[in-house]
Amino acid sequence: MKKAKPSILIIGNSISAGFAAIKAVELGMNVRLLIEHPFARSHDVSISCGIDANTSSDDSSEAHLSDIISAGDGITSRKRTGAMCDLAPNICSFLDRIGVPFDRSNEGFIAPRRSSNSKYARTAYAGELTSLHIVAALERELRRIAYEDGLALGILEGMELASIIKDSNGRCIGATAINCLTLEVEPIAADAVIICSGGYEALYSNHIGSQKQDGASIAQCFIQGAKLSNLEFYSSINLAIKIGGSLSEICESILLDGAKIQIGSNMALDLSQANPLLIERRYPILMKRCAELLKLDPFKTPIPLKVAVRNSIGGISIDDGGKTSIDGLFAAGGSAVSPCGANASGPNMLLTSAASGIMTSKAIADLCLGSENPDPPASLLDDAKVRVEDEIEHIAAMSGKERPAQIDFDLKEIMFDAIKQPQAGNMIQSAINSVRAIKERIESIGIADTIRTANREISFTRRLVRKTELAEALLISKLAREESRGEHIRADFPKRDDAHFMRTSFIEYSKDGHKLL
Amino acid sequence: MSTVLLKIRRRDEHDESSYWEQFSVPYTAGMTVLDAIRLIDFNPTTTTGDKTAPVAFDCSCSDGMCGACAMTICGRARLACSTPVDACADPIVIEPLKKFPVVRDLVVDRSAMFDTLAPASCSIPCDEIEAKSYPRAISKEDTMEMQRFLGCSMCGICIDTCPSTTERAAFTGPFIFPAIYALNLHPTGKMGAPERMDFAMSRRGISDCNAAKNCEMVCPMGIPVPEAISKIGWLALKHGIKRMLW
Repeated sequence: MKKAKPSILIIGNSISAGFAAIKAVELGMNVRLLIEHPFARSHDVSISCGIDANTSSDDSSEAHLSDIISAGDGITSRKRTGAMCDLAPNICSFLDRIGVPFDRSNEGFIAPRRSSNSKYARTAYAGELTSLHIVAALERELRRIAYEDGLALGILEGMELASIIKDSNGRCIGATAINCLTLEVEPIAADAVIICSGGYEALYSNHIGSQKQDGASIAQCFIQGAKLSNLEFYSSINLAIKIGGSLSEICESILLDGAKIQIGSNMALDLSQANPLLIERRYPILMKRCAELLKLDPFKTPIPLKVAVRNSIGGISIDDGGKTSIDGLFAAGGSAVSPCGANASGPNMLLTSAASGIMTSKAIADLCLGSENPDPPASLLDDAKVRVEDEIEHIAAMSGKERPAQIDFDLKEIMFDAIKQPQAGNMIQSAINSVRAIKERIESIGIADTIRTANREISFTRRLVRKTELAEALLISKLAREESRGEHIRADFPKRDDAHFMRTSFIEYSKDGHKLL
Repeated sequence: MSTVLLKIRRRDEHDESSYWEQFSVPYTAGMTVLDAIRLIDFNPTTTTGDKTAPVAFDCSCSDGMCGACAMTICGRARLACSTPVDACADPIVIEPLKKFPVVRDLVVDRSAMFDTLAPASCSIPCDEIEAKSYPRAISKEDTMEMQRFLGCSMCGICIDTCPSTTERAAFTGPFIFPAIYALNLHPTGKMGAPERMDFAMSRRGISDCNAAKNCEMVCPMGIPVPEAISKIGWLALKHGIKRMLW
């Protein structure tokens, strides 16, 4: 039976998911948006940098691209980033139109700020809460669309991705989702699935942002046959403060407002030269954190800083249209490999999220609009559902001695140790062995929570199983890249080796040890 | 202080009665209440030595930005990730937010807040993402006002502490009015102002606000909610007169 409109399933509550959904509705597709939590709880809200767009008259898309390429350390995807830079002014203008209050010039137009890696004023910025404003504006827009036309956009809330569903030809025909409240499994058929559930920063113990960005969805696609790329790369910041057991980002623009970084064994942010009135007006959240949580006067005592992982760079391998190695499965934002290369600035990562969502929906429209889309056989959906239900029952029945939280903690420490200092090959190999030992420990987990309602432990353990696979793949990719590029630094290969490694790395899942391609 | 004592009000299911359990977790300097609750996962055993289920709670960013970990800590609604353990009484009494249906333990259902956004016209309907559009000028002052009033993390703490938001009252809660006011300042947003004002004048609108101003005191994002409500009051009056005449 030919359906009137192709249906697409978008997974995640990230900025890329928001843009992908709005664009897909605009292109006339039926969208189902699968979110575990509302957008307001998105991992993207903690990013306090702005978004880059070549909006000023002396700037251009070419200059923007050239800056991204120089930051990307030789492995930038020029076609995709070029398209992204072309889209950037439109994205910025769209966000402005839906109510993101970007800073203004005296004439009333968007006044971009200069970012650290560019000579142009390019970062549209709305204060410390820029990302929160963006996420909130997208959420308002999405809720409005869903309210006005529930058929065009349906928001499936409180659901988390369990697996993708493939037909006999290996084509993705939908996904199964777990209801986080009841642990019931629901198969959802779709002509295309986009994974937009963020990156895998939370694999490291010293990350900023949400614990939920643990790469479990990426790993699920990996296990089901999607290739991953550039896992070894990440971008870090040194402007992070430690609050309790978590790290928070300080907006980079504070350096333009008179703050200085004191470099040394105890890195700190010195505000003694800055204008207190300006700082208090522009950074109220930072001031509040200093007063209530760090208990210091930032204008007298420098704020202690930490180095933290801000973004993962790698992810699901995609082509220029966002298609993964599995037909019908797409990835965007943090879940997909960044087109920017081995490294990218925060505002460009935010732009990547937005642009990749749009580009992916456009690619799907080109593929699916007007084509025959037969309904998938019900038996395939039921089989996938039963497999997930069996896994949930298997985990619920685990009665070993290990605690999932402890294993997760140990995994993060292993991953952090692998990047804390430049490591030699033998150290990375020993980290791989440690991750394999963790895999064995998972077998002896004991589930203490016997109640099914809002059971975090079963879902956490499911994610943990996937995270370890991703962690192992990451370390294998790290071991294989025998050079230093971006922030991937090897003690035994301290130089960039363009002759052998000026390329994107690929890795494929295998039960007997993941295969590098 | 080498350990932190947590007294948590638990509830296994929505319709079951609640009970208290007490946990002791190791103390580290600078730890937040969220850190302490997370430590229970490592060894879910009460102070009486009984093995129990780990406590269910919501959290995402751990950064004070996403509003997920709002709960009642020592009688006051606040974000667990932004509350230092040192600032709390001993034991730290933790309960779910009081004005939302409890799903389990500290998890509450705040979906009603999100469901209100669209009926309140709390959005600016957009054209196409890639539409050619000329930049619209917004004055610096209006932008600063918008930055001050937008940025709600939808944590629900204002609703929890608002004496006017009760089960029997139709009042939506304070959270929505700063956004309504700020979106009215936007050049395209102004076009939706009549609908927003209709909402503000409806039974769910501002007439039930008793100006207790708790919302301003407790808002983790520091949004001056009462100021927005009073400004909307004046705009609503003008809107009402217009509605009568035309």
